[in-house]
Amino acid sequence: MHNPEWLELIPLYIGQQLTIAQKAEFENHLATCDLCQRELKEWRLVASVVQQEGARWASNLPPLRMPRGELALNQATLEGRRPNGFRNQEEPTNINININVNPSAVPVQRPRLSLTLMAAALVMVIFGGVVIYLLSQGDDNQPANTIGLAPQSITETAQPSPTVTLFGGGEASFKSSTPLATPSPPSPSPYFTPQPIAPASSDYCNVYNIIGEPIGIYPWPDLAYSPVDTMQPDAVYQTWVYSSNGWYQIFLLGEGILGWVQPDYVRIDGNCAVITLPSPTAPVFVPSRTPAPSTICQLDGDTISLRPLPGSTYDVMAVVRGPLTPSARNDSGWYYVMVDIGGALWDGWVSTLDVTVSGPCDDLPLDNSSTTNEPTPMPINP
Amino acid sequence: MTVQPQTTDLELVRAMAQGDMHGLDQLYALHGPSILSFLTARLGNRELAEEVLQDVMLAAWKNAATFRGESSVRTWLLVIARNRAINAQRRYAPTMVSLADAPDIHSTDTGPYEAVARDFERSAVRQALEHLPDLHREILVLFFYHQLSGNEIAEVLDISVGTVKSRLHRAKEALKRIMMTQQEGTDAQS
Repeated sequence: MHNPEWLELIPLYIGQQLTIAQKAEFENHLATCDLCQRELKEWRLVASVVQQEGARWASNLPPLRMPRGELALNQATLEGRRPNGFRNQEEPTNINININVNPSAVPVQRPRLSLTLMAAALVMVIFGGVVIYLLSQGDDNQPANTIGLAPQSITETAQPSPTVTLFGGGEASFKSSTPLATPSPPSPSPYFTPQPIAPASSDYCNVYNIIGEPIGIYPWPDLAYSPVDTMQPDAVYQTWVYSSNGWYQIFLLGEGILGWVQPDYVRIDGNCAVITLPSPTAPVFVPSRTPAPSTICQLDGDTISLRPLPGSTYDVMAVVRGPLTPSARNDSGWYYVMVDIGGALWDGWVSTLDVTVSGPCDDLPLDNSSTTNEPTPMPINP
Repeated sequence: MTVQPQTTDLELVRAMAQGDMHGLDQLYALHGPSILSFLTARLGNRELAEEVLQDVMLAAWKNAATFRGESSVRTWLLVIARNRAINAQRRYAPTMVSLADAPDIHSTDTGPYEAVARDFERSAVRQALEHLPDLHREILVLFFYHQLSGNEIAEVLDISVGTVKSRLHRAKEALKRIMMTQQEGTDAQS
């Protein structure tokens, strides 16, 4: 049987994107493969036409129509500004392009006023940061390094503070407040599921921001969502799971899950052999949110871990988003649910720590029979 | 002294960040055709592509100060172009492909039967390309016309390198299906 991987190499071969060794190997195979020769001929035709059409579309460049006076003024207002977010280095929000605006309507004093406001804000941030830092130093139970990094919507225990860039998440500050020898246990959080076996900090797989810019932390591994927070350039988080599209779910010890980051913008280091894919086959599932009647038990949450059996020692099969409707529960705070993931029905258990419970959930039938230690993460109807 | 093209691009963007309009003009002359080609492929409409191109250059001007040179200037412009194209597609109802409005570049091939047959085949591919979904047309253009690497395409389109490869193959399969449908239509008429 023909190996389809050879066919995948053909466009790369035409595009001269194979290594010398790959090219030689492919050409050896090509000499004896009729199918590959036919495919190569077709690809060459496609490449040739695309190149010709691309050149045609590139021709007759229209003149650049720009309101030059306004642009010069506009650039002056932007001078000195630094990016405060990151998405492919373009401004994350749409720029209001209004080329008909009257330049005289733009107040000339605006740059100075903006700078003054920024300076005032900076002073407040530094002062507030120092105060909070001093307070946190006096309280051993307070995870000083992580306050304010977690978005309020995700981590209820977090205290949003303007000290993000001063104390948040830097490797040095992280290690100083969480000594390697005595890691602080994860505190209970509605969105935090502790590791199966709490390891030392050095046993975690750490995630580093490598691009020197704040990168978006998303509530779901999909750019269709808006970032809920940013990972600062010097921040170090931990991960233990990645999605089917390669994103890493990041968390911070003692704080909980913060969200997802794109793999291209981070480097992982540490004990990364332990990270798992929540769902090996199914894509990340985002069910539509429908208002539910209050007469049924519902579990809600943005990152709900689905496990084959009730217990955090079992591997996560998938990370799903609520609301979910459980059909049973056990006495240990786990709910049995069935979820449609990519057209296949999966069943499993979710922890009460992962969800917000609403409705008459105490009325659900009790099922304390599932206590086996042999996970069976198989879909019911694949 | 020879200036590296990449350095020149970066210098142009830095000049733009300082308010130098000549930097914008030069950047437009250097990369405008390439971006216009991509936008035409993505939008399937020459007129709209030219309009969005102006938006792209304006956005590049306004964001020049935030460009840190971690990707190539061309990739950066293509990312902006793609975002602008998506916005434009949301604003306007999907339009039928009018790629034929672009100025024609006549083939210089003349001669015997093989050349005629080849032209016929190329014409069929060209027609199919016009009817290809935007996502497929844009990846073919980025790969074969712009000659971006898999990593660069992944950056421009915000997808993984694996998806680049699979989408490339799906594009070719879709092209083939369209050609077969066109062929069946021609056969039925004759």
